[in-house]
Amino acid sequence: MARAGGGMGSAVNVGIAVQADWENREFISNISLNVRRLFDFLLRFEATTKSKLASLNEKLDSLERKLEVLEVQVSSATTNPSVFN
Amino acid sequence: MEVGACEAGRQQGPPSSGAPTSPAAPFGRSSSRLAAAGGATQSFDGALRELKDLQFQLHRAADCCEEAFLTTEKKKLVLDSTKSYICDAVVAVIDHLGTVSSKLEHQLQEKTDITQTEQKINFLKQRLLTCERYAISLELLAVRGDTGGVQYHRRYLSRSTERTKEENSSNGGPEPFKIISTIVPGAPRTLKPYDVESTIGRGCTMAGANVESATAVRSSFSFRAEDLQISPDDHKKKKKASHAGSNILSFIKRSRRA
Repeated sequence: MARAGGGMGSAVNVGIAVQADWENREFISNISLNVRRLFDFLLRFEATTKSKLASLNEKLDSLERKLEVLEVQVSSATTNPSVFN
Repeated sequence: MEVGACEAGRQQGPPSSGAPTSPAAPFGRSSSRLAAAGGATQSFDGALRELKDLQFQLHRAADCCEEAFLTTEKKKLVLDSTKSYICDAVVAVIDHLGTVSSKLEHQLQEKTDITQTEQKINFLKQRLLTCERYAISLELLAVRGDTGGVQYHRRYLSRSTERTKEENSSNGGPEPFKIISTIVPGAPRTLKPYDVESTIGRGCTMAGANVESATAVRSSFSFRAEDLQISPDDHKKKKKASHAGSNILSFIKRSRRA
């Protein structure tokens, strides 16, 4: 009888341990899922930020080139002012 | 005891971390989102700095929790506190990441400076283009004025034209087309683009009408009133008209005397 009670108690303990283990696993899976989502968000954020920065860089480059062309044209016009007299 | 140490370890953090920490909420919400003052660049830098500080804080907390779990006997309690801590940490990291991303997005969307610079450059280009067109029109005026520079290929010249040219050169007569300039040679002359069209248009039409006399040709190229030269016939007519006017005046005077 005592053995049977001990066996029941151990079975209950095992059941509690298994339930706690499943809870832990559920918690870990939830956390890992959220971390994966966070990682996906970071990847997408990196991609969009890279593309936006690239477009910004392209615009700045074009502006720089336009400015250089303007500088050259203005300098050529100032070196030959007789044209405008 | 160990749990208390772990809680104390949670509160530990770099002194530079701006987010206030508490045992209930180990990671405060990002303060950059709440900070209204300061420029966008400063707020973005602050949010990024907070995220970096959060990394060191998380590493220290993880070490503390591991040490407490290994040393304590109440492992369940430590495990539960660690779970809640992980949940709060994930929420705080997501909050900081959202703050940083929103700040960066806001900064990237603010392209007013680039647009303004682009507009300024386009304005300058337009002005330069206007100057270029003006200079080109002046060059065209110079080219059109230089009639001696116009040469046709022999293939396109008839023999009669060549003969008349040779006769003209042998006679030493006046050049059929010559532009009269009222400006003193050597003085700077400012030419306007509208002068080109008016001079050329009038010159072409009148030169076609009176090519026989050189004076007519000369007058055809001059479009100003002071440059107009009246032919002798016209002068005589005007004199007659003035004579007639004087006759009328004398008649009126005589009638008054009578």
